[in-house]
Amino acid sequence: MDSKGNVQYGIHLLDTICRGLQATLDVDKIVHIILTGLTAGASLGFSRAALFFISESGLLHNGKGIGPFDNEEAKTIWADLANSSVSLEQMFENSHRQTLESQRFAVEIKSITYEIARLPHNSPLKKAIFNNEIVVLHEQERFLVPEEFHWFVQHSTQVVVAPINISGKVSAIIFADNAFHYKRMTQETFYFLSIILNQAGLALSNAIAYGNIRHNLEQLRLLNEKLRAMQEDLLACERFAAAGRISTYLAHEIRNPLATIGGFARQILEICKGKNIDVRISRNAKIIVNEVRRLELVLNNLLRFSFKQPAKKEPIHLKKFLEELLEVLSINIQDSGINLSIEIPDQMNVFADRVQLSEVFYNLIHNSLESMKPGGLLTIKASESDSEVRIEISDTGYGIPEDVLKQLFNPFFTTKSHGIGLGLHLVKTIVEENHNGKIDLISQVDVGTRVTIKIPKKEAHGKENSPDRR
Amino acid sequence: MAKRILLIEDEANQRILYTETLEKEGYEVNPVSNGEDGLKLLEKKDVDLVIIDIRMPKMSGLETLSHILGQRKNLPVIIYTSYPQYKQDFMSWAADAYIVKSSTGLDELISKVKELIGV
Repeated sequence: MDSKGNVQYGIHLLDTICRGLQATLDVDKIVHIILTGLTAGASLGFSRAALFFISESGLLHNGKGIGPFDNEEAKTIWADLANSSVSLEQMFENSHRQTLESQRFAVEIKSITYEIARLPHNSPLKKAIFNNEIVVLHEQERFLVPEEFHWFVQHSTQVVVAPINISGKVSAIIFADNAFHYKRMTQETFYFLSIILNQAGLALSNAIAYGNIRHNLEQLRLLNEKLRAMQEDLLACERFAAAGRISTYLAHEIRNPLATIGGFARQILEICKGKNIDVRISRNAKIIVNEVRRLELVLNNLLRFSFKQPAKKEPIHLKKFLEELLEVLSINIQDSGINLSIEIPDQMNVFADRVQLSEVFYNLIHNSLESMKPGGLLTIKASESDSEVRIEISDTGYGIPEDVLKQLFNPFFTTKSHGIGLGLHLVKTIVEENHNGKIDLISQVDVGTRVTIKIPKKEAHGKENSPDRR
Repeated sequence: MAKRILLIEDEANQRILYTETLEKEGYEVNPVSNGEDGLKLLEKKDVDLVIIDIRMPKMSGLETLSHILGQRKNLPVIIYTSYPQYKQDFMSWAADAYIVKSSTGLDELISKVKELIGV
């Protein structure tokens, strides 16, 4: 820049670069503008420029470079530039950047990473990075840069190593040289370079801050989304819990009057017994008794009421017990158009808790009824050995697929739209935990399901559950 | 002479039901609707057994129970309630039986009464 015209061009160049830097918040584009600006035309005198970022861990990396790799390329590039009518502004654009990125010099620069800690004590790079100074390496000094950089400094007679200050810290470093044309750099060159680097530092710190803000905003948006989803979940949970509390409250409130209704209906039955009164009275009372029992079974199931208590075991006449239960459920059975087959020996007793055993049968019979089409067959069989009573409940329903089978007894597992998934869990708990029994279930899709319950006749060391006084 | 039962139950309909059912079994039933009345009655009258509800206004069944047993520590008591959870309350362990109300619970109640004091 030794003539007035060159200085004017330099100022124009500087102006264009500064405008370009101000117009973007894209880090890659800023780097491209800096490198293009430094190597554009002959005004600054740099034939090649490279920029490396300095990572938090002290690594020179992420290098970008513009310029010819060797003499041949230099000639071609400069000839092309002389013939082209592309303006500097156009060269700043991303499309131009992408073409340059594939050039050999750019590719070589990109491949370099270097640990700052490895720099020798008197390294000019150290001076640039730690003293925040522009360092010019003349002729022989240029090989004071680490070996990794020798391949490109060997083509020049002067190399500038200059720091870029981003938010008060040297966070990038620039190499620029006079390769292939060997024009000497002037004092003005360094003034201009210094101005460009200041602008570059500002532009980069803005861009990085913007990037951080954008990143944080994105994080915030994601967090917000998560929060909203969690809020919705929480609300759903609260609704569920509220529904649970309401149903528990209702169930308890209903149990009392039900017990009264059922009790009085039984009294009516008693009064009618053996007397010559209109038969409809006793029939209707019987219906009330059964319907109340049915409601009580539903409520017990809803409250998971019976299995919270230890089993109050007593010998239960199985046939009579089941007949009574089936009578209570007769409305359900009639409605579903299912045929019943009961094969239970007359004198068989099972040692169990009456309420809990009703829950077991209620749930299993209910499931079977729901799985069958009209005309289906529900079979209940019982047999006994010396040690246990074995009861089988089988249906000709649609069966249970294998993947469902595995989860069947898990609490809250359900395939029904109207269930809460506690029925079979309750059954298993009652049979296996409260009665030391065993429950097995085999099922075949479209054929049916068979549940086998085994209940020990007398427990080896189970405790009886009539509360003892004090 | 018929065995005497003190029935403490706050709900009128249930009181009627239990009274009638027990009377039919040959017992003399003295129904009252709260714990205080029950304790007053105990002071005047000798009874053989107490049937008591737990959830009642004013004095709860468990509190009443502790007063009763304070006066007559060998008096048989049956808790008859809709709520199974009080079984966890150690106060309820003082009773001779804990029966949960249901439409068929009365059968259980009667057989327990028979077991404790006979007919």
